[in-house]
Amino acid sequence: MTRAKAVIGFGAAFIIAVGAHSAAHAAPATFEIGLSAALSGQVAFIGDAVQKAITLRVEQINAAGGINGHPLKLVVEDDKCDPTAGVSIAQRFVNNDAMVGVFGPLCSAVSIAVKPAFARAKMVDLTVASTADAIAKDAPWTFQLAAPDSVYATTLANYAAAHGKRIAVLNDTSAFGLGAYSTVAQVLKQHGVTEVAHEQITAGQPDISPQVLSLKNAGADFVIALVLGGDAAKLCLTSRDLGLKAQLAGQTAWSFPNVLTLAKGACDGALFTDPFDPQKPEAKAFLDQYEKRWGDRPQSYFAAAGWDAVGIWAEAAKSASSASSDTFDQAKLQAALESAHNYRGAIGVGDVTINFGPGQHVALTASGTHMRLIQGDKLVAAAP
Amino acid sequence: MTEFLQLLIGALTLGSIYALIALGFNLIFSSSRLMNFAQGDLAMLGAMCGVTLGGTLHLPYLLVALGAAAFAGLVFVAFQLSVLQQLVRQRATLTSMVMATLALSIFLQGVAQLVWGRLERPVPTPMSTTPLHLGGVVIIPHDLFVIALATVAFLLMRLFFARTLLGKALLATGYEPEAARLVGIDPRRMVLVTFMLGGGFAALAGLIIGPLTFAAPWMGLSLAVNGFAASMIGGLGSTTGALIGGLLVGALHTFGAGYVSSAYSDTFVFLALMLVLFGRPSGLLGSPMVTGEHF
Repeated sequence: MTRAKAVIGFGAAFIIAVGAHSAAHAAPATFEIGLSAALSGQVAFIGDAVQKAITLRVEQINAAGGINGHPLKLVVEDDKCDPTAGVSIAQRFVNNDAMVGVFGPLCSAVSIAVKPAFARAKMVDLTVASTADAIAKDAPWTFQLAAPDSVYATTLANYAAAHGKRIAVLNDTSAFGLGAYSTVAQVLKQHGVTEVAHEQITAGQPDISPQVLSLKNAGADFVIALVLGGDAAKLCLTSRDLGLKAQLAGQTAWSFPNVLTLAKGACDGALFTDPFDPQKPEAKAFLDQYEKRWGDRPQSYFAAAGWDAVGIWAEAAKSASSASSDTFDQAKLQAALESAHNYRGAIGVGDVTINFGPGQHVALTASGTHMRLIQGDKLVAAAP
Repeated sequence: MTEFLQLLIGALTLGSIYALIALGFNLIFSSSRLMNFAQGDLAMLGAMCGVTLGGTLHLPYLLVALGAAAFAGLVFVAFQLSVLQQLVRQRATLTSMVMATLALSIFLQGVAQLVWGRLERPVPTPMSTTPLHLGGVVIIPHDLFVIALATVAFLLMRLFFARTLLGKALLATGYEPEAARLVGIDPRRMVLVTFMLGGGFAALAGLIIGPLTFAAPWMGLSLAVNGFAASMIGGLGSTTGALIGGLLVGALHTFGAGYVSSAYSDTFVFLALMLVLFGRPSGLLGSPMVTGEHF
């Protein structure tokens, strides 16, 4: 290469570099945010609602100028509610330098499985709909928007103590069932209530009629049922067949379409815990915007949880980035989220606000949840 | 008394299902001395066939039952021809083959999850869903169907082994394959027949338990464990033993949960299994001849 060519080459490279630098200043880089959700399979209805809510919120943030001028781009990946797929998506999110925010996964097993990946990378993950207690425990980088199982168990026991005369408990022997039972037993004891019967089933047990008969023979008028999915449907069906007239009450997953389809109407009149009140002003405002954008009005809390997750993240993200730089500081984001107080979201009932803190990564406590009633394909408010 | 009768119906229904699974275990064990860990997953396959053939395609129930039995049977025969025969050629031990059935179990669960999803699916029943009330006892028509179907299956199997040449040839292959070969029985053909029947019975059990438990990819484990306990209690290789073992396991589960404690109903079954094995290592009706390994 001649000296003249070398000078021209160097000059050209300099001009390109300076141009790129000034271009970066002219327009702040786009920040990517990732959503890992089940978009196929039987829980796709959860992923669909969350994706729509997050998309809408991102559109609004971008219309208002983005995060410190950085527009957001939503990247959605289908984890199929499968922990293996979830971990590989989490790894892709972690390896993507433009990725500054992560939402989901929406299934508990997947949320637990991806915890180490985000902890290793020191990257904040806001789970949206997962309810397992293990999600936000010992997880400095994971925040939980939905109320965890122990909160639901407390809500159930409080409600039962106030409305039932002869309270019985049925739980499965999974980690969920046993954990929730220990919370329920503790809360009932605080209310001075002695349960008239305590029955257990193995998750997926073919025939639960012995347990239902025992509940009936004990004269139970309120059954706290710490069972999920098909077992919840089976309990509704067997109770109807064997004439158990007690009020059945379960966890939020009782209101999911998969349970209602299996129960063929037998769960009508059953109560379930919920962190969502469609009549609350913030929830109503969100639902109106959602309906305007997507043409339907979600009955469950998932969409609202996705909406709040992005809302609370966006406020914290402002202090983790700046208009003059394209860098994003996850440690600052974590600190800002931990100092988020009195955030009024679409989820949570009454005047409850979302409060995080160091070592306190759960958005809602028992006062933020209430009971709702299954009425055909409608979910309505239960007696307070 | 009403409560006893109510529990009895439940015990008979559950027992019939476990007996059918145990029958499948026994059939396969009779001809090959193989413990098939995928038995519960073949039952799951039967329930899933019910979801697709009955629930989605709305085929007549007889066709659904035949389709489910044939499909699971053929899957199991294909596994025998492709995997087990290969292991035999490589002189693998029986333990390796048992491990291969465990691999089949995991494989079938994975495939079912891909095809039918992770959550429970409803399985259709040919019976009415309106319960019958008989003097305070509530009977779900499907329970009667389960009990009737299991009874017919057992009667047919007894006749098959006692009256037909093929049935006797199967038993002979199990007891002494070399001698069976000398009198002109092809042990490999016999093994294929029992794999077809064993897979078919498992699928039938899965199909009829489906309306009670719903169909899910993970449903096979509990069926296999209880079916295995039933066949061990009754005696490996004995058709009547499978029936008695199945009914006993069903009764221990149901009456244990109803009269003692629902937290320990599984414990009663495995306590009974241990007691029986201490007293009679070959099971209640098992023959001490049913030992040794030959494939």
